[in-house]
Amino acid sequence: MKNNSTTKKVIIAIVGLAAILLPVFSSDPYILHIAIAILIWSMLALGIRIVLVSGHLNIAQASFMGFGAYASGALAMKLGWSFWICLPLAGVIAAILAIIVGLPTLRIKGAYFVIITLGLSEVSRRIWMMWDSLFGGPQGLLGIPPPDAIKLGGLAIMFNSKVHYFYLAFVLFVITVFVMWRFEKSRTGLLLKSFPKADMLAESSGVYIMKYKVAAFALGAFFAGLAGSFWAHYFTYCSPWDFTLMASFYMLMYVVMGGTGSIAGPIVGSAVMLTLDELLRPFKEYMPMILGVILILVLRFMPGGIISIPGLIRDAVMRKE
Amino acid sequence: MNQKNPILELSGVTKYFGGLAAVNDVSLSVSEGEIVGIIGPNGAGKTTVFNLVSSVYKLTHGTVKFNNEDITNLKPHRVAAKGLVRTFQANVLFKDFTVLENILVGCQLQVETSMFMDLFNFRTVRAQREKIHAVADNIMEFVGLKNYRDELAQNLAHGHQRMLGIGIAMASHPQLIMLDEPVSGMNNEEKSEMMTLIRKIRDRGITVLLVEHDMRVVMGLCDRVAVLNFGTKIAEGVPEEIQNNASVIEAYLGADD
Repeated sequence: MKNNSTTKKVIIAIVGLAAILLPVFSSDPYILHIAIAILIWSMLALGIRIVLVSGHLNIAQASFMGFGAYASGALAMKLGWSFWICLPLAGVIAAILAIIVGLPTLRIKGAYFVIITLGLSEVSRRIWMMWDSLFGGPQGLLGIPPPDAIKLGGLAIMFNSKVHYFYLAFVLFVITVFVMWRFEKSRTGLLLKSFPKADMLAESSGVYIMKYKVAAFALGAFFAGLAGSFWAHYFTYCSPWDFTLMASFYMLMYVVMGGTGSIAGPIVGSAVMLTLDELLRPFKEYMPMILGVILILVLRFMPGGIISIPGLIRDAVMRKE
Repeated sequence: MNQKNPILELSGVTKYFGGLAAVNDVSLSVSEGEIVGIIGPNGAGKTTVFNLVSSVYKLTHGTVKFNNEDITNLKPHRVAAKGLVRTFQANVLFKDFTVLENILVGCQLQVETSMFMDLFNFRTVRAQREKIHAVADNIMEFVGLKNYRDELAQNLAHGHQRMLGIGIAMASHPQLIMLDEPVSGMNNEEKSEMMTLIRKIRDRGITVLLVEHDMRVVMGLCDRVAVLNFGTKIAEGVPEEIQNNASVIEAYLGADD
């Protein structure tokens, strides 16, 4: 047990250090871009997972990302607000939206909640498409300003290279992982996991289930909003086509591929799948087919996801001995 | 008998499912420190009464008062917060949680820190965790599951699972506990263990209201017994009275034509 947690810490330290030092090894913008994508999509996948833990499947995560992106972009463009104000505001706006959507709908179990989030992703796309004056219609928002430079004494971070964006994404990612980890480790995590099993029992023990479910949903949306804000200012552009239902499905796939059992799952899932996506770029048109086959194989042979591979190998070795 | 303060008062409690009266105009008063049993043939509405008191179902008519406070149709978690908790009929547990984790869920009413504070490792949060774990240890000792602390609930023997169900309810430090068929499916040894536990609960000053089929247990344990048949209360009294009551015998054995 003790040994196991030390191994875990060592792995986290090595991976973390490698990530921090990545720009030293490679300043190739292509590599850095993939790394940034992995960090940001991990944040989104983690948000899906924390809701999944409480027994609900949210397939509108891309919409929350979108609302974060649009809110941040519009505030920066129309009102000229600094990115550093828009970023947290984008998270808060997405979280408030999640609370508004979650309060009436998280009472509903099973397929109904999925359908409602499906509806949300369609409605949100329509809002962005139709509201030309604010969201720029089908072509989206063009010319979102990059983050303002940070001046720390003599050192200025200008956000004129991918390295700076990489470190910003890394900081956001670390904050997400930290909060998710503490949230799940606290009693709230225990309660969230108890709901799919016997929510009546939890309720009759005096637990106000809705409070925790809405909190988890809002937390996932908050980080989706942050991710969206980053994405918009990073590309200096966002459109309704970036935050579709398909994008939500990809996030969900990263969660399932990596494994739903722990926080590491969605991160590993995002890393593996996005890397694979790049490696298989020559076969781009077959991509959905290839991913579909991989997804089926993973679900069939390792329902615990990619992170369960070491455990499966250990079991196999033990059985031989 | 009723000189003591009534802690739970049901008056005219009625529940219709469509046109069917599952519970019809049931009134019942439970005094502090009593063990009261509700018996009746299958489908008599015993569990429905529990579901109405704990607000799992909404009442069609009638009122439920707890400590002289109207708790009719309050949300289930609010009812629990007032000090009125229940167990469930089947082995409703968090099956892939350990015994300790099951009890911890039951301890939530004693938590004072907010969800947000819990994100940080403040001293108050740590102190609270220690306090809650002490409560959980105490409960596990009380229901005799101390040695199974880290065992998954689903791996426990049937009798122990029922004990755990009661442990979860006890963990919220209730004033009144409602037990839904506490000895169903148990062998004689487990039954007498359970009877001892229920007496111990009462000795802690907690009022007990139970639904049970096992007559030996009901008659041996309860101070008073209420009998339901087709949703209506047909008799109430001390066990000896009930055993000799003509309409009760009729309800259980059928009338002579």
